[in-house]
Amino acid sequence: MSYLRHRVLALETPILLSLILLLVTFVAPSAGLSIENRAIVMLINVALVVGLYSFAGLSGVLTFGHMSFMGIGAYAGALVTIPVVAKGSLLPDLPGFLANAEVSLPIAILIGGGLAALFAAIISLPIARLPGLALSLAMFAVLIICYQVEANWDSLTRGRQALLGVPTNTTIWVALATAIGAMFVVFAYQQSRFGLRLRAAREDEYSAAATGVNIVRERRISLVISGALIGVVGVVYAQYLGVFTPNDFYLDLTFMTIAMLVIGGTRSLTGAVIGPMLVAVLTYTLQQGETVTGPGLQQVGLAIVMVLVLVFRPSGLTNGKELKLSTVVTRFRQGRADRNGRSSETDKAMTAVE
Amino acid sequence: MLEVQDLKVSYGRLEAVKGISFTINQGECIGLIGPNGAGKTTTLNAIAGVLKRSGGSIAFEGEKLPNQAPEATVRRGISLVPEGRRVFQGLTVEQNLRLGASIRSDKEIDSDIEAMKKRFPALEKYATTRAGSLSGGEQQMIALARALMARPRLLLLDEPSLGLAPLIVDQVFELVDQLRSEGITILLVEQNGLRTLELADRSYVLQGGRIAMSATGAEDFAEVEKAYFGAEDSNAVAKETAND
Amino acid sequence: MTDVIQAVVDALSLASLYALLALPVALIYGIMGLINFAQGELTMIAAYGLFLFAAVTLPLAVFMALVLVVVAALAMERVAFRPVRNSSEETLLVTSFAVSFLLQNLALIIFGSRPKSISTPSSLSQSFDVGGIFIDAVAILTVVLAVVCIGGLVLFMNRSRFGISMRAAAEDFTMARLVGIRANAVISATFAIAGALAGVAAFVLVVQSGSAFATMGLTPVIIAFVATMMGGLGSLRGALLGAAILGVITVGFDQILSEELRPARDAFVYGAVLLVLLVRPSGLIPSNRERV
Repeated sequence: MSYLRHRVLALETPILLSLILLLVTFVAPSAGLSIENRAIVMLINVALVVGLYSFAGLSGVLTFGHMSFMGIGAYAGALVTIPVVAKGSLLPDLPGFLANAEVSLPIAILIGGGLAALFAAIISLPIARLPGLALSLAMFAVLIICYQVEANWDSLTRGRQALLGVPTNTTIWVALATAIGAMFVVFAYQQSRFGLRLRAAREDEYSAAATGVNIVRERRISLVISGALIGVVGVVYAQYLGVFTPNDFYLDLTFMTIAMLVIGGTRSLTGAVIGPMLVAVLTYTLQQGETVTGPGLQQVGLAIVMVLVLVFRPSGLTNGKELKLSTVVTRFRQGRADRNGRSSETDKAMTAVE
Repeated sequence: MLEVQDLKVSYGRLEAVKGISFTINQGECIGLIGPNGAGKTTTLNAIAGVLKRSGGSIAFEGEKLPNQAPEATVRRGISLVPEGRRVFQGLTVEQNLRLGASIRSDKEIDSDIEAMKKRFPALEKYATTRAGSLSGGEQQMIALARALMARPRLLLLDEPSLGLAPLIVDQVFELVDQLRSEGITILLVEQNGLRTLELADRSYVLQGGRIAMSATGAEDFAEVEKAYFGAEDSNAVAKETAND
Repeated sequence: MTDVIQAVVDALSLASLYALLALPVALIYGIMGLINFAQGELTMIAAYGLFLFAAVTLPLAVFMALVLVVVAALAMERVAFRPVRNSSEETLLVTSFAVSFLLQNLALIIFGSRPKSISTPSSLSQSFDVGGIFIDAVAILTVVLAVVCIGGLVLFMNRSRFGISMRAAAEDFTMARLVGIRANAVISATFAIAGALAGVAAFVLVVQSGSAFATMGLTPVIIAFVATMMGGLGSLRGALLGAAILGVITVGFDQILSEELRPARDAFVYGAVLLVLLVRPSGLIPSNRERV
């Protein structure tokens, strides 16, 4: 198989995943508004976790600070889309250029994503140089700093008070477009030579360095790409919520997204897409139980599932494999022939990352 | 005393030791030699319990050793001096020795420490110095003395002469000879083939995770060298690794 | 002048508290490569322990809370961390993150989201005026407890046979096992110590704030991370130095920041720490721990 043909065929994975998301988008609204809203949140989570994966999955360094990019995107996107009149009363001390800005969603996405990317580029200067574990923790410090700034910069963000009046432009189709867009961008990055270098460094830092991979540079590129994507998702999410506070982009979200990625599997794009879908189902179920226990059951259940995955299947449900149609078909046929070896079939349904 | 039967050890999918068998009798010194990656260190680590074996069995003093933790193996009377010495650098020489007696609670620990200091004068001199600040040769002495503090009946030595000055290497081999005459059974892994052949009662040449030949003395050196390099035919080795 | 002395007094007590928080994190990392997010929840558990036993006399409540938190720490290691002990440092970190979240939300279910107030003797909440410098009783308590704990730990690690075994294990875990030191015993002991230190820290925090709540472990654990990271992961001396520096710069920023910037003080503190890491990525006193 020629290299090019191989690459084109690999597109199968994001296309299949897109079809699954498209199906959800078609079906969910017919099940009522509450399910539709859950589907929107799930699609946004897919985009978010795919963005997180583009750094954490490809570099192998799980970070605890990527939600800072989401906060930046959300606030930037909101500030340029809230109607000028509303801004006058909500945020009287805004600088002039912001006070008078009122742009459409696509422009807001560009601004939010761009700003988050810029921020990622700046912090990557020190951060990308740190060894793995220190990088995770330093990103955590970045998250705390961003939270503190958002929660205290009253003239820009209303501080701990909710920022309201954000136009709710995010329909389920916008959410779908964001998720699919993020998936294809990250897929292209993953297959590009930059993504390859980063993955090589993840597998074996020293051999990769010996073949000329500049790991700090690759991590910088990855930080900027993931920062931009997550910034965009922040804009979109804010336009879904309409009202938000700095807490919406802090520890709960950090935990949720990491749990989704870990459960789905940190080492494949498929894992980053499937994780949020599974977690959506799981939290929905647990939320029904919260009427009995009070709030907290969702997180407890999710944390337990996450620990179980880490203990028994540390590379997540997808185990580093990508979804491929050819292998799904084979699996189906084999499943008919032999119904016993189920676990091995699940593995076969996914083929190893090229 | 030690019977290794069809020992297999794998790192993930890569099988590093592919079924080796040998026996050591009480009071013998046995050498394991062979090129890098032949599986020598892996074999020692499997006996000591640092690595789990994937197949085969090990019997010590007539009893089967289960796949157990290193701290349990020491208690059976087997001590490993690993490659690179690995003294506890931040602790004093005396603390290192005392840690060697971690499995003991008898009254003779102090007198054993004194005996070690007599045997290795450098340890006496630097008893309260941080072990990490001593020279490589001195650290090797600490590592050996530390292992002896457990009063092992079988001593596993991994490349004790590695990275030492020739004069010190002589001392190390001399010491191994002494220990054997004191009745300690020794399994010695070495790169230094000729010296090992001279010293050991019997040596096995490992090659690609298998025993390629056994030798009894320096007169076999030419043949051993052939086993090292002649058969090496690096392509064949590479192919074999790839197939696993 | 009194301002300066006041600041020194404040920094000393803050640094003492931070040291109590940072030591257990550094200790556990040194032994098994785990950065334990859930250390904060041990503090939380101890605080709820004080709340539960507060009805009896204070010394007994403190004792019971300490027992509770040590048991919790041992259970945490046994249930959550032992199964993943041989995983990568990142897997360990993520596991502890999940454990931390689990315990936080469990506490939320059991005790609700409202803080539980705990009354402590009024003698602990008074403050002395020494020539214009105000010294809180709780500040004295913090310093004394920190000195006692650190001193006790130093003695234990340097003099006792078991403590020396722990230092050996922190330096080279496999080698320690090869001389016969039992891995499980060392790790359990480390968690027990970490639990006890969390209990002491919880006592200080409860005296300061008068309450226990589900998310109270978060700020302490962040401080502990930042201090150990700045000092050098895995180095106990580094953790103490990191705690001291963190205490000093926190008080320093309190002094120099203007009124409207002061709420964002922590942002400045952590920003300063990132700058330290820019210059010294492995911290101020890198540990000589062997990476396995």
